[in-house]
Amino acid sequence: MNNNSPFRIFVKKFTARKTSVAALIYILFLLMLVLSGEVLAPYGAHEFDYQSLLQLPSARHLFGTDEFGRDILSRVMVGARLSLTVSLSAVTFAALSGTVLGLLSGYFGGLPDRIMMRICDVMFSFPDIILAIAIVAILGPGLENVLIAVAIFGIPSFARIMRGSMLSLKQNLYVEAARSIGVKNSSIIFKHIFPGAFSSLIVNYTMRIGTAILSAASLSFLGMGAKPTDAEWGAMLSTGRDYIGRAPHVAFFPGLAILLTVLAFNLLGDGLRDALDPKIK
Amino acid sequence: MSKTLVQVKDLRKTFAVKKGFMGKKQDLKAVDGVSFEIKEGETLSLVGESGCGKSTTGRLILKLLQPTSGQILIRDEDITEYTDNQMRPLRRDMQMIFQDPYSSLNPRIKIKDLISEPLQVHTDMKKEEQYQKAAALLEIVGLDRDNMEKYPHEFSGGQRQRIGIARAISVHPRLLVADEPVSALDVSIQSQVLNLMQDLQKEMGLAYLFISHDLSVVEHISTRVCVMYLGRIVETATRDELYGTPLHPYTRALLSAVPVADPELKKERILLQGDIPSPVNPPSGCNFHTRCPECRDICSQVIPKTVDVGNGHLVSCHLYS
Amino acid sequence: MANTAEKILEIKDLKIEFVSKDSSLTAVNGVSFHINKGEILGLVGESGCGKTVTSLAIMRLFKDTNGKITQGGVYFKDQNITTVSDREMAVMRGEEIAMIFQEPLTSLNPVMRIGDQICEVIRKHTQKTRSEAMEIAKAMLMQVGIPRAAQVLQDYPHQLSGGMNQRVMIAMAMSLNPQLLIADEPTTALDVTIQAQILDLMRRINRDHGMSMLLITHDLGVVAEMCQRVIVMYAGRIVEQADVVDLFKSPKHPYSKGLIHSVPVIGRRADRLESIPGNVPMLAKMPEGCKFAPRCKYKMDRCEKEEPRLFMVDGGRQERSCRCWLMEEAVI
Repeated sequence: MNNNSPFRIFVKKFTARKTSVAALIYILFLLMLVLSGEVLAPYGAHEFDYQSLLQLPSARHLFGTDEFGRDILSRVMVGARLSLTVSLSAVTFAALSGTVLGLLSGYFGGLPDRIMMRICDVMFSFPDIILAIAIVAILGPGLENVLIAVAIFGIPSFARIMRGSMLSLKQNLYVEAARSIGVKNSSIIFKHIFPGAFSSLIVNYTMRIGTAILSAASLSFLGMGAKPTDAEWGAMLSTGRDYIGRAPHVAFFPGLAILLTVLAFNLLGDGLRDALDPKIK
Repeated sequence: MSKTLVQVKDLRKTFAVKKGFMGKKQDLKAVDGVSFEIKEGETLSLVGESGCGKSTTGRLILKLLQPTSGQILIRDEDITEYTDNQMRPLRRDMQMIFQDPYSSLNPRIKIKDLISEPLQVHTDMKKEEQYQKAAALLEIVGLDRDNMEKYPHEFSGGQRQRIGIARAISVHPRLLVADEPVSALDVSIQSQVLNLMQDLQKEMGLAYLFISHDLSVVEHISTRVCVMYLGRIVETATRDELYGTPLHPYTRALLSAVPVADPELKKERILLQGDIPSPVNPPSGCNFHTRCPECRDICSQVIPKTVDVGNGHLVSCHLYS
Repeated sequence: MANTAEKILEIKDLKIEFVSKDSSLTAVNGVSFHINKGEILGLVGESGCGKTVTSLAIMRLFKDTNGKITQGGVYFKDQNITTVSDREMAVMRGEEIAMIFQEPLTSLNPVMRIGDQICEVIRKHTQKTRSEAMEIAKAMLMQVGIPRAAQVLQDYPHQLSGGMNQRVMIAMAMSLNPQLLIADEPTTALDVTIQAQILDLMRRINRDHGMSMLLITHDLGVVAEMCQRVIVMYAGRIVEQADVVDLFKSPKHPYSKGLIHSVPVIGRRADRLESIPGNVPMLAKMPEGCKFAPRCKYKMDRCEKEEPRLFMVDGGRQERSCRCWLMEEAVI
């Protein structure tokens, strides 16, 4: 590969930042957990053990047990799968729709562009959570509907960002050059302009995963997402609330999982943004 | 007698601009009734200072901007109202070289793909053939074949401009619109690129629409010259006549203002008063009258007609009508 | 002739390096020249030759960069200003040496009115009151040919054209009556007819006030019109120094020759322009020996190994020198 290729430069810049690399490793570990299913978990996520209720962390149960004797470590690991699947799917859907909408809107402009921007404005004026609650209230509780809600309210942010990138990249002389050559609009958008917007897309994508995880967990916490018995981090936090005094570990570990994961995605997004920025050496 | 390649008749382009946050909409007449023609194989230059509309005119001819009114004919075909799809097959014959070598090449695309893009759009050549042609084009413009895999940022300004030229000539166009092609380059590189352009013109029979503010370069490279001021052409003539016997007061002032690289040449300087007016609020009548040393009453009231004083030498000035 | 003239500025053996944590790049190496009182000296070169860096060094404007003067000195009226304190230098900037730049819009403060900006300069260096300073500002604006000076005092830079802004810069530079004006590409961003006005203004100031000028430009036409003596720089070194007529009539250095013959001149028809092949070498990859050798058509073996010194050349209207091995014979 060409020594000077943009990809090489990007890798060099990214690996120079220790926090980004650490975040990436953590996320890859989580992904591995997700892909390996329940194999790595020491116990079943729904395995009751009435002999060991609310036990503090020990050698047998590294994260302790909850009010039904279930191993918290196993449940946190399974919870990773739930959280990541929901957020990755939702954000991917939002990214795809939002990108197409934003790029087309920014490129062609005119009335459709203005209408789309106003719709985004309306959606932006709601805090994420309120919007998600509204959507779930219409569709009914359950993780699938949480996924739909998170996907929908993620679209405006992608549309906005991609439209912004499109508006600024459209000004470049090489876009005019492409038009003067006779390149079709679709090629101009996806061959000439989109690669320049890709970095904004990737950064927003990673950041939104953090938001999505938080939103899904919050909805579950409020009882609108996963069932309280599901091994979902938010749901676990919710039930753990009741035991904060006696057995804080029940709420602590799922909470910690949420914290670390959202932090990791944010750090990854930061690292990506800086590594992709040509002005930062 | 060369055939006419491009004919422009009373071309106009008006932009609506808003002044400030709450300002009212104003009309900016960037191009205000421009007519000329370009013959096969010749170099017609559009010369003028900022706000004269020369760059806008170049873009109008290539339909990169839609004219407000007027006509553009390419080989007698009226393309004024053509859509993008109708223009596409014609673009093979009309290409452009841009002023800024740093932003006219997509930084994320390799040179081989940049140069072969016109081939991809306009021909049925397979990728391999395209790349072979691109390599040959690189050599024609004086660069080494093994630059194909590189990215634009690995080249200097002059080299990038050559790459832009290679791209433009890849489909053997008949007309090349060159928008200030050497203004952003160092002096010693300018001559490299100008020599290249002249060589290509001879070999390929290209016509150039050469847009520039640099009168010395324009004299060197042109067959005929149009002088523009605030959206209108004030004088058109062959190169020899324009520089030998300039008629319009603006042309004279412009020529006398150019600093000449010869310290012993004593020049009579015509110094114009004041600034170039804004194209949003152009003067009435002849829009040069506010700075013209020969201004008379009629000049502020009536737009002068274009008069042919012989030999195709056209002037728009009340002194001659 | 040149010996009896008083030197207002002298640069001796100046070396300027840009130092970063892994490397140091030499932007200017061994540059020596002087400016006589009342003359306009031209500093000519293309991008990367070091002319702007040299001018910044004279004014000691390196604070925000990692450029340092590592050798040599700048002497203003025989005083070494490379070693004076920051505060003394601040006083000198404006009162003794003033500078104007290429882009007036970036040199002027966009959120301050013109009058206030000029007053600020005046009041920083003198004890004048605000109204006294405003009077001086108005007088300066009128001197540089700005009509409606009172109105312009109240304007902001973005309300004025490029030409007007450059006049404002010149007015500001002149307000403290400095003895030396350094102008770095003052007309490059201006239209031709406006450029003519500004150059005419500068010539008038030089003639009427005896202000010495260092005119930095890449435009040979401007040099030919304005300057009495010219210095040609390439890759951080002086390659030729001569009277302006001598330089254009018979340039000695291959680079000067190439440069002068590659510029189209109105009235002089040439079938083809001469051109200098290749590119300016990058600071980090300077060739051994003569820096121009890779592009030189007169190159000899020696040129690639040893960098030539600056040889004095006889027979010029003024002091003449050239950094080229071809000149060695001429000296003997």
